[in-house]
Amino acid sequence: MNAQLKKGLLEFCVLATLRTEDSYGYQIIKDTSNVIGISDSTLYPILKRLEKQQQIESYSVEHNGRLRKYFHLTPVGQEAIAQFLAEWPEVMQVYDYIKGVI
Amino acid sequence: MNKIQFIKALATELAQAQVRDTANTLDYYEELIDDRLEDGESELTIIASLESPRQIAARLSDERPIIRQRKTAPMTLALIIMVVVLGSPLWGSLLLTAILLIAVGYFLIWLVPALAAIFAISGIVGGGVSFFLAIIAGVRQGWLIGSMQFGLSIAMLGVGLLCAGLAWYSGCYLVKWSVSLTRWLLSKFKARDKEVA
Repeated sequence: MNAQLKKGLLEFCVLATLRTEDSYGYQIIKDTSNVIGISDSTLYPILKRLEKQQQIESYSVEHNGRLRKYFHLTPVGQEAIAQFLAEWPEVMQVYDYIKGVI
Repeated sequence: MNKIQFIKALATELAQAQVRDTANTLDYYEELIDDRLEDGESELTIIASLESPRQIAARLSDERPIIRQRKTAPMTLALIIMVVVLGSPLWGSLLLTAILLIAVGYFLIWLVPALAAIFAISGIVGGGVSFFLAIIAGVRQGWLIGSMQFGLSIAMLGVGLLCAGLAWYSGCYLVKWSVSLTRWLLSKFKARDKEVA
């Protein structure tokens, strides 16, 4: 997939992963990699950005004697997903244009 | 490279690249490595699959917000310099007054430990000298005068030691306080970067 296009989709994929349940870094990579390739190093800046934009929030849980950071989707993040899905017809219009259908 | 070496190298690279939030970044990678170890991967495989610490730091430093600073127009700068030079008799004397007031403030604050130190030295030296003179007085003028002199010398020594303690503790406290006050005053004149994007 084109790098720029992928960059735009990755954030929403991460948000969508957190829609059903809270998750942690490695698990998010495993779940998201089923749909779109994401590396360990790519995920971290995305999580930082989403947290700064208050679309996710983090908390730590003890796991096997160490702390594991979990991420939770906030209402702002849910709104971001809804907006992305609402804008998809516009994206499809551009796709059709590029394809030559319109 | 093992996990500890990787994390140490990453910490170094992040510091060199001036990436903020280093602690969270290191926690993320440490947690990631631990999770993959729990999943059954070997440490060497995990480290080999990650980007190098330098690449990670470069990626994160690219994510830093862009800081834009407005450049002053040349004519505006010339006008500012002219106003500063022409107004120097006024602002110069005001600045000097402000500096003197701050200096007086520091002087008054440090007066207490300084006076305590002077009393301490006087008390200890005076008490010491008086102690020896008490012996001579006792021999020459009788035990009554001698013991009175001795008592006075002990009292002086005691006051001197008390003042020495006061000078020491107040001095230690005021050093910390003076340093923080000076840092606070200087911070008011330090420019800060404004994050734009």
